Amino acid sequence: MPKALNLLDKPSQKPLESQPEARFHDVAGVPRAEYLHEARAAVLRAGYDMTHDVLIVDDSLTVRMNLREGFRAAGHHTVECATIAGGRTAIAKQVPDLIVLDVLLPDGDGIEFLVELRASSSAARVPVILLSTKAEVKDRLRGRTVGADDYVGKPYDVADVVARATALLRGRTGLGDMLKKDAETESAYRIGDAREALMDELSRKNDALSLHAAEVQRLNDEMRMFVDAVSHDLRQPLRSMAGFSELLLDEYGGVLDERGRHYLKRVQAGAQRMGELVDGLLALSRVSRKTIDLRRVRLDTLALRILARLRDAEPHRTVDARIQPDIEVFADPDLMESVLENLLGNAWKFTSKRSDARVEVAATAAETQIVCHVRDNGEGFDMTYADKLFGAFERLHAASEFEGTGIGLATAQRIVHRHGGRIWAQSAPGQGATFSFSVPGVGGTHASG
Amino acid sequence: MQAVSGPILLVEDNPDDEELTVMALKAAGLHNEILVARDGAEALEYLLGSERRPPLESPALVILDLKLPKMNGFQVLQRARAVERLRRLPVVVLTSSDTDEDVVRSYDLGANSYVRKPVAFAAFATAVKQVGVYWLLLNESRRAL
Repeated sequence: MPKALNLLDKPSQKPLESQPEARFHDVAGVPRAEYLHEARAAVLRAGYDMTHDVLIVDDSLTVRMNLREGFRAAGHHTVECATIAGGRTAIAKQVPDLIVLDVLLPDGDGIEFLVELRASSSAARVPVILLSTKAEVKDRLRGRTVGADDYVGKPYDVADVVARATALLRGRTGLGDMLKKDAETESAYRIGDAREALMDELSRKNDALSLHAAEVQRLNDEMRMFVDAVSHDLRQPLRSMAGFSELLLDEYGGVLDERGRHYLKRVQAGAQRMGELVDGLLALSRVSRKTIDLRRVRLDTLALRILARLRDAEPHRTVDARIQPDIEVFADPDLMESVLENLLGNAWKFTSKRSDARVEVAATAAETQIVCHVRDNGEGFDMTYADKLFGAFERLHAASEFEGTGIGLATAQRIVHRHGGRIWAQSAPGQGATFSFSVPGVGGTHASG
Repeated sequence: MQAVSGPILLVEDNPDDEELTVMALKAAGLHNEILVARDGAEALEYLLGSERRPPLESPALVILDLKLPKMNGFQVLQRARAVERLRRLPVVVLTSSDTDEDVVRSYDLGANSYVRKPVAFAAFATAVKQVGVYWLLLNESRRAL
């Protein structure tokens, strides 16, 4: 198929033969004769020398010329152009067998052009090799996601590009061509080709996988940096606000009237609350990052310790606490403490208006799981809004009525989920509330026995 | 009890935190001289001496922030602990961060305590007071220096 379309869209374009020899040197500095030889060898090694039409879209004349030389040496026809518009025209005239596409083009983004091609009827299945200096992981990933078959970073090696192109072309048309080959060698080719195609596929999948892994790692690192920045940078200004307003109140409170002192207290309360919010978010994010350390944990012991702390903080309150002994689970001790801290803290808080406050911790065994219940006889809530309970920043009570950040239950839920369990609530307004969560039991010797 | 004399070296780059810490130390009734280094390099200058100044004469306590300009708190700690004379000097890390990595790394590099700065001033003042009282009044580290 001798098609010598020349769509080079630079007006000053001279015929190939009149270009100075020096221009055909590869970017990497490999002498021309050498890479041409390698390109030919790559084709011969593949046992395959059928002619294909290759479209080269790159705005650098040197790149176009080098690739043209390489592909022609390998027995292919080439069409070159410098812009996306040129590429469109070339494809409209003749759909190529393969496209080598630069990412950064004067009239647009090569990757967007690729998206356009993949959506078109004519060139949807034409193999595309992206060529770019932006060979960063995310660019490759972006290219692969929109349907590039390969991605080569600049500076590149012409022989490498031609060999990759040959492999792609063989993958597409291999079977039909092979039938034309000598019967004796046919099955050998077929097995060899199939194996190579599989290896190619495997290495492409591996490539994609490691790109994904790198991307996940990068996002994790970014998240960690973000959390650290929040931890350090947001808390400091809060400390200034809280600290100096406190000092102002202490040392100059006498100069202010009642209303002035009230304003100052509002500033302090705001700083304090924002501090709690930041800490809550940090706790939530830490729960997701923490490696879970599974061991036998006594929930009743944890509950007693937490209730002692709550009593210490508010010694004036009388709360009847009933804790079932010997609740043993197989879970992360720190995380279980955090769950119980949140649930008991809520129970403690929402019974604050009752003189006969009661908080209860009990457990039931179900199959391999232990279901732990934290019950109180406090305010309770309307079950209509129960689905909002475990979302971060959701609260069912006015801030003026009960303090809280709304992050505690989200944290508890995330912890329980990370243990493969479930958390739910049962309540009615004025009827108290029961929060239940399931976590793995200790197996053969479990708690309720 | 006899309080350990000798200056306290406060390594803190934020002027607000510096003022609040100094205030809290004074409110705790500690009368040691307080010297302030505003970055890691200046802290090392105080501890190791330089062309500009001789090393600090028998410091009683170092209160060290981690996130500092020029040289961070970890580097300060590492460099200080490499000097025989400073190996047993009480160093308390007082910082905003409480990531496990930072806590572990601080102790590994030879910090004596790790305290996270609370947001509320009352809690902050209590924390600083306890640090001061413990290291300057209760603890017998002076005998080892």
